[in-house]
Amino acid sequence: MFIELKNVTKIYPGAKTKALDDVSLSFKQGETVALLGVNGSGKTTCSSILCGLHKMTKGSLYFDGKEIKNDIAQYRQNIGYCPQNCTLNDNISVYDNLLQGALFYGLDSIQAEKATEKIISLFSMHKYIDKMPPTLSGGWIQRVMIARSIIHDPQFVILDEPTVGLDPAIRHTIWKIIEQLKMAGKTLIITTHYLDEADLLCDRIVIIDEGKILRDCTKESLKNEHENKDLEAIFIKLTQEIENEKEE
Amino acid sequence: MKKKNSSIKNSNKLQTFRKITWQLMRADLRVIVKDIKDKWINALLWGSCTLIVIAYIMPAFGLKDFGLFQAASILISVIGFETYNQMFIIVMNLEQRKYMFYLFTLPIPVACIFFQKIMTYTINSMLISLFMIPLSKLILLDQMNLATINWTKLLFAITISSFFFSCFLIFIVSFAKKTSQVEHIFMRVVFPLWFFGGFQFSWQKLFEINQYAAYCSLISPYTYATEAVRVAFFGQAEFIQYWICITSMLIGSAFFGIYGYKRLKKRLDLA
Ligand SMILES: Nc1ncnc2c1ncn2[C@@H]1O[C@H](COP(=O)(O)OP(=O)(O)O)[C@@H](O)[C@H]1O
Ligand SMILES: [Mg+2]
Repeated sequence: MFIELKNVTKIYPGAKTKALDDVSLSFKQGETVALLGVNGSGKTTCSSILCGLHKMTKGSLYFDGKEIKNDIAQYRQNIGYCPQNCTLNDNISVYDNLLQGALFYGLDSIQAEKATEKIISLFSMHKYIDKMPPTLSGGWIQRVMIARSIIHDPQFVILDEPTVGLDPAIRHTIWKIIEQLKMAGKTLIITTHYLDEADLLCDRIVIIDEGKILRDCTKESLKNEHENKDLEAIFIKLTQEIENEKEE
Repeated sequence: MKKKNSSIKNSNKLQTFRKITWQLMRADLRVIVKDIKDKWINALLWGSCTLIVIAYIMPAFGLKDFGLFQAASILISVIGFETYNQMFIIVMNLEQRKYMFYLFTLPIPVACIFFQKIMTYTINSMLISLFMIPLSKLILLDQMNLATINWTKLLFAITISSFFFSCFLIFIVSFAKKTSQVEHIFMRVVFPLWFFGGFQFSWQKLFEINQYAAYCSLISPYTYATEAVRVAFFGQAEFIQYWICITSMLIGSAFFGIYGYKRLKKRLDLA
């Protein structure tokens, strides 16, 4: 299974600049890909098009070689999407958020309960299941968000800046969870502006800047090309090159 | 063969959509049940204050037999107020990209989500409006004769009005980008529509006073909703034809619902 974006351009209604500019990317089963870029580079735009939330202005989206046009609703069944901000239902408990997450993907009630129990164990969140989302800390909200996004067992999981704004200890816990998902064979697409995160978790790095793909290669080849410098140095070098080109 | 396969696929797809829509509905119904007591208390305070003044104080100023007449518009006003509450909640939710945006990523067309939401708001408003019937009786006592009410027409009018205002809600939300705008829309648009939509007068009386004002007040959806309830209370004689009211509201629902949905979908840039 694979997902492919072909020549995707995105201009938001009323915006003058392109949030994505002729982006072509493909994601194969089992990969862990980092979409790396500074704030405003187009990571969220890219992931929200991949998950079937927003329309693209130009270009097309393929799943398993078939173009997704009118059956976007069905396509979403294959995707687990965890956005940047909390979209939990504040009026119901963590448990109900997870259970409804399963029911809303068409699981019947027995399957949904099983899936919920499984996720609760996987994330060791027994103590928190009766709490209401507004009473949770940022780290726990993020854990519940990730849990809900994979409860229907999707093949592709898109995490939009999963650790932004969290303290170091909690970032490590989230990384562990992501490692677990990797082990379970999920295809992970992680957007981030943290280089250590990309370096630690991902095999493939896609650097995005002002809506354009700057680099798309494996972590190893990127490091080899740049004489084994760490990712941070490479990233700064690449973005500076762009700046210089613009000035000339 | 291929054709048959694709039609099986299609029916499976529709079944999944139905299943998910029903789950969304169930989830919302739970929230409605949880919150209804508080909403009833709010409606009780506002409704009974208004009714007590009209039925027991205003007669001293010469305004007689006005209690039931006022009760009819109160049944509709509470629907309007609830619509306003929901408007705040949705606009805030969309502005902060919260729970609603999760719903838009579910494996079901966005149109189903909006349809389901309209159903939720309809049921919610109906429950509040229906609650005002026994309350009115409790306050008006002999001034309200339950035997002369046309119950079928009353329940139907309340259902259609609730549905209409839920569609109207989607339309208004499609204009309000920020929570702060909701207040402006309410004070500048909804409030005049409400107060000149026959809150305290019938359309025919207004027509006798001033034709042009009467034609203008036909713009307000409140006019049709309130008149329909009054027909159920008092009979057809002095009010706008019941079925004209109902038909107007149904046409309005289709227009505001579909146009509002399209606008909102475009504004939120949904796939
Ligand atoms: N809803 C929107 N309307 C208009 N412009 C937007 C919207 N969302 C994002 N943008 C713009 O698109 C560009 C990319 O944004 P985004 O994808 O959110 O970047 P990132 O997630 O990498 O920080 C930015 O210039 C941003 O201002
Ligand atoms: Mg972002």
